[in-house]
Amino acid sequence: MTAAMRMIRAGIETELRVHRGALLVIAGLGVTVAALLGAVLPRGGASPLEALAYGVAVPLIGLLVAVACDSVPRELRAGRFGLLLRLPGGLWAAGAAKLSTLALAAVMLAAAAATAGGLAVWLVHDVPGGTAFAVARSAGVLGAALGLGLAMLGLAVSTWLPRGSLAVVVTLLVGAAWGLPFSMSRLHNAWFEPPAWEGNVLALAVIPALALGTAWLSLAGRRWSRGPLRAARHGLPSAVAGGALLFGWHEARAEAWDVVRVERPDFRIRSGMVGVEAELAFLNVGRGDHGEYCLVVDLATGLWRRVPGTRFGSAAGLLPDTPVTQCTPGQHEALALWHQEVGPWRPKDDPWPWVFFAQLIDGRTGDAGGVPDLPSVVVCYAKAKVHRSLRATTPVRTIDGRRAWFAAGPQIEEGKAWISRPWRHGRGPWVWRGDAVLLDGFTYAYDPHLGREVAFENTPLHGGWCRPGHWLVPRRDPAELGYWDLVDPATGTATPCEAMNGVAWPIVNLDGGAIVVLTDDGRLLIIEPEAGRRRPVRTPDGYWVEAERVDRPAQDTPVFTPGRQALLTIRSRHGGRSLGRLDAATATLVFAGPPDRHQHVLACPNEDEVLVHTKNTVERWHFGSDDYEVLFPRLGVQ
Amino acid sequence: MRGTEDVLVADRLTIRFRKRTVLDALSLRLTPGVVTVLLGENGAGKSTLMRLALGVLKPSGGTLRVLGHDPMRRARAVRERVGYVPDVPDAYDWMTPRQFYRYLAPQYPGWDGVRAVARAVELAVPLDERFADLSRGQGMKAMLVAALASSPELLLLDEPFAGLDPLVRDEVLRGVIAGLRDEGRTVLCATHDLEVAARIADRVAVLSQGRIVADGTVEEVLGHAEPANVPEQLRAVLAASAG
Repeated sequence: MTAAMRMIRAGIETELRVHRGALLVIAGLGVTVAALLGAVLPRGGASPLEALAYGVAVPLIGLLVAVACDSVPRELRAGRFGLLLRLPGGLWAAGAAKLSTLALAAVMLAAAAATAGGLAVWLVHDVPGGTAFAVARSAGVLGAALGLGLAMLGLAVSTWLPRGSLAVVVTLLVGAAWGLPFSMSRLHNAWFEPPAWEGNVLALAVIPALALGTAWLSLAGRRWSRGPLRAARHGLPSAVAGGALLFGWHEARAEAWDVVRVERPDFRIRSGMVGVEAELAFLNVGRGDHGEYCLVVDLATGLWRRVPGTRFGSAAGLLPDTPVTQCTPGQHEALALWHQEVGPWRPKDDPWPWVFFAQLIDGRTGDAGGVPDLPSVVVCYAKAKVHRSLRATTPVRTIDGRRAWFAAGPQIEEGKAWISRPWRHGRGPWVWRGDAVLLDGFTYAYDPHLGREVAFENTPLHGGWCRPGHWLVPRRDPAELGYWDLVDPATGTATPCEAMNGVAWPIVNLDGGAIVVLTDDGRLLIIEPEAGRRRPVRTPDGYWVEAERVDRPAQDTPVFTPGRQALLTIRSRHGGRSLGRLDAATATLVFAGPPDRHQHVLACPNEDEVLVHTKNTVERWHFGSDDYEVLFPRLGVQ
Repeated sequence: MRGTEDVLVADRLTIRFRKRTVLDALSLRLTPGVVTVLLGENGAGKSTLMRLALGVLKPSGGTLRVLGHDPMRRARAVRERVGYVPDVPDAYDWMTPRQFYRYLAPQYPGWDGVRAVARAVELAVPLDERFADLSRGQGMKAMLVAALASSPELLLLDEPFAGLDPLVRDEVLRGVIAGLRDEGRTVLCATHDLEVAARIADRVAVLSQGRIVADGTVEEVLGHAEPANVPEQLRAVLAASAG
């Protein structure tokens, strides 16, 4: 062990002895608060991570900063500063010991608090242990980094001022100035949010490094020339430079937030809708896995505009931040449903941390306004974890394209919107196995063919396929896999359906009661369940279509041409095609577009072409042809 | 740096605190093995000179070399070879002298823990009582033991006898004199206790208004005074310098 290490070790032992009371209080408080928050807050709607992060970070930051801020004034009060100054190691050794003690305390206390929080989450909320402790680990790292960074800053500021209480105030001010860009990057997660690693680098490396530099220069200033003024004269420029660096980063990234760059390689189209006459597209877009925003695109010219962003707007709380889903009641309007997190500090008896609100997007101006038939703010009642999963919800349409159900409840039918019943349990409304929409978890479905809700909990309908007349329900007994029953949803009466034997996946209901299915061996068939008829689907060349199911939730939404020909999204085993138009009368499937290209159907304006979006383009494909046309983005068009 | 080279060389050393000049072009040399007593009234700059020698303060002008080094630039090299006894014990109150020596040991390459304990026993320092519970004299003796434990080439005594009653002062003084016997150590002792000065000084430097106004051996400064009259002579020199 070198002399420097022995020096620092002796210093750490001394610091631990001096601050043992405060550290014990911090440990007790941190563990208690983290455990309480881990146990209580998630029930109130905040995520366990947020609860633990607050639980670990608040006591750590608060009390470690208080200890750090009183560090130098305490030595001055006790008349020991002269001793520290005149030792061979000088303030460097003392400072290193203080910094090391703070680091040690931050890591140990954060680990203890995070472990307590993780245990509480695991025990109270019955989540898997691995998940609980992964969350706890993240919270601990965050708490340790922020606590240590601010504590080091507090140590630096304590050399500038004669009193610890003043140092606490100045530290919090400087910390707030430093943390402002960081919090902005986190809170305003609008378009082009910086990737997570940037925020992590800030929290774990840049802020602690800046604090370390400020602390070091302040201590050096104390040695070079006595007095808080000299220490501040050396440390303050470092603090200001740190703030400038963070603000500079923020400004540089803020530009990226505000500007939509469709040419970026990580530009992504998440989902979209097309106006009734297929002239305008309303797209949910983002960058990589971050950010969501809405664009309105003129498909004829490629011109596009962004629905106004609200990062710094005075009405930011009510304007769109994240489009969840949308539909098109007309050519020039899209009804968009947005959600925004209210914040984790909600009362326990008010479990809803999200506000949902619907707005009508004007396709001509790109503006988002209130919806006349809907309250401007729709407050729903559900658990946060449900809605987190709904961020990826895609638009939901029925066969006629005029009726839509939103994930959070509002419905629109023939241009008139209203709020459907709020739902409290399980999953939200969803097109489920055909045309029915789940309204209340797995308890109720809305069957548009019957025109009413159907209760199916604890009935043979559970897990079935909704279609006009009878629903198709697979048998649950493992020995009867591949066998289906026809069930009357009104009475629950079941009869075997032999025509469906060997069917793995129903794909879409056709007019007249026929259904398109995929068999276990990959054959595409048209089946008339009541009549017992099976017809193989062929290509125009006469070959049987062999395909695999594309397992994407959006594919449960049926899409038809204006002439009522179904569009099938499958993965053909020969040729790598993924989209075809089915002529039910001749059982012929005509593929469209280039091979080996993944797409989502936006709309089918006529019998010969289909509008699709890939991960970063909107394209027009033609049936029976490999040709395609990129409609958005177009070179040189902004 | 044990040779004939001067242990401390101050040349036109100046330090100002804001508008107040504390040391004004002070020049001083300490030769090896000599006990120099720095005399001066309160606020004359005696403690400031010692802090400059330790590299704790930065001079405003002039040069200062301690053991061949600039104490500002080579503070650690200087401090490792310089012992310092403050005017009041400034160890951690909760520490015992034994803990304090353990705390200091890593700072000094020449630290001799066994010798420190032996010297503490010799001076009747309670090794296992907290500093908070020690008397002023015991605390000063503990600090003196700490200063000598690293076998310093230069020992700085910053008014260690101030405020001690005569009995305790004699006790501490015996410790100092015992320390001085070792290895012909160079000592700079700041004091205004003239009896102490008379008992230990090989050389006297009188500091007034930031300058050395008298510097030389006791004989040079006082003439051939009778030993019993040395304090009186010193008092006269001090009064003359103040006037």
